[in-house]
Amino acid sequence: MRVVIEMTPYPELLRWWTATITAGTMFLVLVSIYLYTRNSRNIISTLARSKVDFLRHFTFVWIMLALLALYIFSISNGSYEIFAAGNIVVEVILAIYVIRNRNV
Amino acid sequence: MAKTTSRARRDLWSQPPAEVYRQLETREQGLTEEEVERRRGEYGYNELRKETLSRLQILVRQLNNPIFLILIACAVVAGFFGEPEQSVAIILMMALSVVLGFFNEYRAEKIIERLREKVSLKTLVKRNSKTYEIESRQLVLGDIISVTIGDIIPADIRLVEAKDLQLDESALTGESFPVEKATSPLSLDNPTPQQLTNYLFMSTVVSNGSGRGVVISTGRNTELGGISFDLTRPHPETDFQKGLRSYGSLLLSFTVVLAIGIFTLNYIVGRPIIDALLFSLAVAIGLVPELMPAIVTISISQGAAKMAKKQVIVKRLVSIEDFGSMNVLCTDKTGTLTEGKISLSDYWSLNAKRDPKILTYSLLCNSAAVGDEIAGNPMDVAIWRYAKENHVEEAVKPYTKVDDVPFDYRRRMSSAVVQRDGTYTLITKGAPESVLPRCKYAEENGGSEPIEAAQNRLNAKLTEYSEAGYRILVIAQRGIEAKPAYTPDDERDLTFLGFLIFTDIPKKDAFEALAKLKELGVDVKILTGDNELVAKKICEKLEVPVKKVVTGSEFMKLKPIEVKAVADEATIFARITPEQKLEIIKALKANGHVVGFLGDGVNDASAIYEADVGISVDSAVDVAKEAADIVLLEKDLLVLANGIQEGRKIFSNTIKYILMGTSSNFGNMFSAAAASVFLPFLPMLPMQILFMNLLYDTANMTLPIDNVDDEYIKKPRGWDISFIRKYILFFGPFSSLYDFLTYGIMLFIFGASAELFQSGWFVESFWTEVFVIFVIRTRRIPFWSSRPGKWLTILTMACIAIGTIIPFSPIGGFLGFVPLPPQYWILLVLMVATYLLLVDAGKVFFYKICGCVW
Repeated sequence: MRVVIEMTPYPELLRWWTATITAGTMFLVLVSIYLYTRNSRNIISTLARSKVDFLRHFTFVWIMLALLALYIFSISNGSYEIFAAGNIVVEVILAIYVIRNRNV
Repeated sequence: MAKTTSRARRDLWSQPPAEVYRQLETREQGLTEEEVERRRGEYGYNELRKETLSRLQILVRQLNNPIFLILIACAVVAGFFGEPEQSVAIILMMALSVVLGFFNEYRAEKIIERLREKVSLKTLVKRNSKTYEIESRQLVLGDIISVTIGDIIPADIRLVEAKDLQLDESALTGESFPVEKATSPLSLDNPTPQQLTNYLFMSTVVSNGSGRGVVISTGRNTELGGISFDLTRPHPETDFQKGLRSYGSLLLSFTVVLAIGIFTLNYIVGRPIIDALLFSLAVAIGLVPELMPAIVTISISQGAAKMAKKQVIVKRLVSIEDFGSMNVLCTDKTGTLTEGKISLSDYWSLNAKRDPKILTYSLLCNSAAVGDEIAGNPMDVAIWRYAKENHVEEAVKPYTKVDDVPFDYRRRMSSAVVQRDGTYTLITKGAPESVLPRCKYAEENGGSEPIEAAQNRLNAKLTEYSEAGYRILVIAQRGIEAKPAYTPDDERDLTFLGFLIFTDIPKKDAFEALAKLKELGVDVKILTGDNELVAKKICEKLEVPVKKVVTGSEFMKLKPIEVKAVADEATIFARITPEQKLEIIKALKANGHVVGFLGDGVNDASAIYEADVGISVDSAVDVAKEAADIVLLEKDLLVLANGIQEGRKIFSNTIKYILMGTSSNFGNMFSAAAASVFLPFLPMLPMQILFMNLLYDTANMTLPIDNVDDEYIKKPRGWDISFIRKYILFFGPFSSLYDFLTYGIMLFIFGASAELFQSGWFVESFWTEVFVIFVIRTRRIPFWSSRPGKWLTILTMACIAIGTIIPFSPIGGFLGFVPLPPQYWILLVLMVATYLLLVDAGKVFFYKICGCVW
């Protein structure tokens, strides 16, 4: 199914919607940075070792930003298929991530 | 029979016992069963207030809730503005919610009632010439009862017999010094309770001696009943209660601000006032953790029932969470670490000879009740057992007992005056450090020498016995003149006779129990009246690492600032007084510990009350049991360890509800509020929000019996508001993001109308809110490695099924829903799966990388 944006009765809301979901994601990113910097061990590890640690620690944030891009792109295009395919790819990545970080 | 008013019965103080019996139509042999039944029918049970709530009270409690008032307001407003369907829907949902709450709380109350019955106070009563132990609430006017040291007086009593009887009347009069009681009639006009020395008042405590008396008033007719309906002073709020209250008020104030903000903004953007009002009220209802009191009640009552199966009775239910959070347990050693069955191992004179006089005198200066069975003070019982086993009890026959000076904790000794062939002898038995300073001579080889000459040998013997882990009593005597009564002042110029040597072996399972407590993160401290060497020996045998030993006299010399440090450092506090026990508990609490105290004696009551978790045993004296929050049916640390685990499970399941409410539910309501301002229609109708709230609450109802991961209960956890704040900040926005995503899908992929939008968001919002329970309920990553409770799974799936089919049903139509297109369901499944995995990945970041722990 492909529904084009013009079909919506409220096209003017797209800008509002994009701004809101982006603001929500940015808020979550800021909270993540706040929580990360509160843990002094993280800062020491990032400074003393390499940027790799920092990038690795923020995997969850990168995935979230990728999801934001996927959602904005697919919904702006009214694309059901892109949305579905993108979700499946991200799910696989997330499943690998949580299994690799299993704590039991 | 005398009038039943309290005033009339109080006039019995001026009457002799015979007249008291006559006026109350009773007799020394006690009432007959028929009389008891008749009097109970007339005056009711001997209780100040019913401990449990009636059905009506439980129902009223459901209605006495701000949410209920908000819902009534919603229904009235909807009806008034011509929306009868909304009004009916709100009333129906309200009724359902009340019924659900009523049945759950009623069941919880029944469980609590059954548990309380197991540890009710008992009284020795004489009826029909026979003595029975009955529940104190069964007493009636005219009953003849006996009381002894440690008993809580169960009703107002006129004494007819007393032996060195002293009462702690502080619960009634505030007087902290014990009051002496006697039986003689008093000539007093309008006396105060303090002047009535031949009366015993309900809730006061026997601090010394024993007595017998007639019940002259019961229940609310007692002195205490006239003052207050509370038997004990209120317990301070627990750590958990404080946390819950501050969290509740924070959320409530936020809800009020948000509701007013939503209403104002909706009104400004031109929405009809009724829509704006109903929507803002519905969002408020969605946000308030209205189920929290029910979840807490169900959690603790279910937990209390489970703990009862493990021989742990919870008397004060709110203490369960603190029980789980407890990280320091203070206990005496007798009966917990040791068997508590003291046996007389030997008796020695100064020159290490078994002098039969030592044993005979210790049988004479002895308070044990000897019949078919021997009962009383464990050491006195042990002496009698030894004598019987060795057939030497006949040695006491030539003696006649003249008087006793009973034991008290200050003197730490007791005396008896005996007469043989016209010669009077005072025999004193007690702790070495109490009796030896009162000795002037020491008997050796039939003669006696000044005690100073024998001091070194005495000290050497005492050290030798103590280091071997024995408990020692000293027996001494002197000739005394005949006189009407003897007092502690007569305990002087004694002649030391010998040592009584007792042993109390460590319990078989004490080692295992201590290891388990250590594994659970509970530090055990020993607070004992015994000497430090005995306590240390027991710790050695049980492999308890002893960091520091502090004696009562050393503790007394500490400055206030040092007390806190020593309380933390020391493992053993030996030879300490009840006041010092209290000080140690206070210092540990001030150091931030959640402190438990396990005790069973009169001298333990204050410490039990002061501790965060006061623990006693079923065989303890009344006052200790009454002061306790938790009563163990077996004096066993292993039972305690099981109880702690159960307490932690309850704590964990209550916290789960809070974390759910602060993440998914909160996020949903926030996004609803934000969307209502920008959308040309309401994102969800008020009754749809109420319906979702009801379904979500139903899904949460089985949280109290959910499984808890083993690793979560391995360490004690207290209330941590900063963790909750971080949790809201981090996990709250996830749910909002996926709500915004649904708005986008509905508006820009499906071009949804208002009804389709509301239906789509209802289902997504409900699915995410309910499914995320499985992610949030565990710290395990991935979340599927923790198995949820069977009933939680069944109920949440049932609720998901209802929430899914509702848009297709006639009820859905009534609630304003329309069927959703098949493509939506595919997107929904994918979206919810991503959401759950993203929250799980969020847990990796939150717990593992940022180190946020609780």
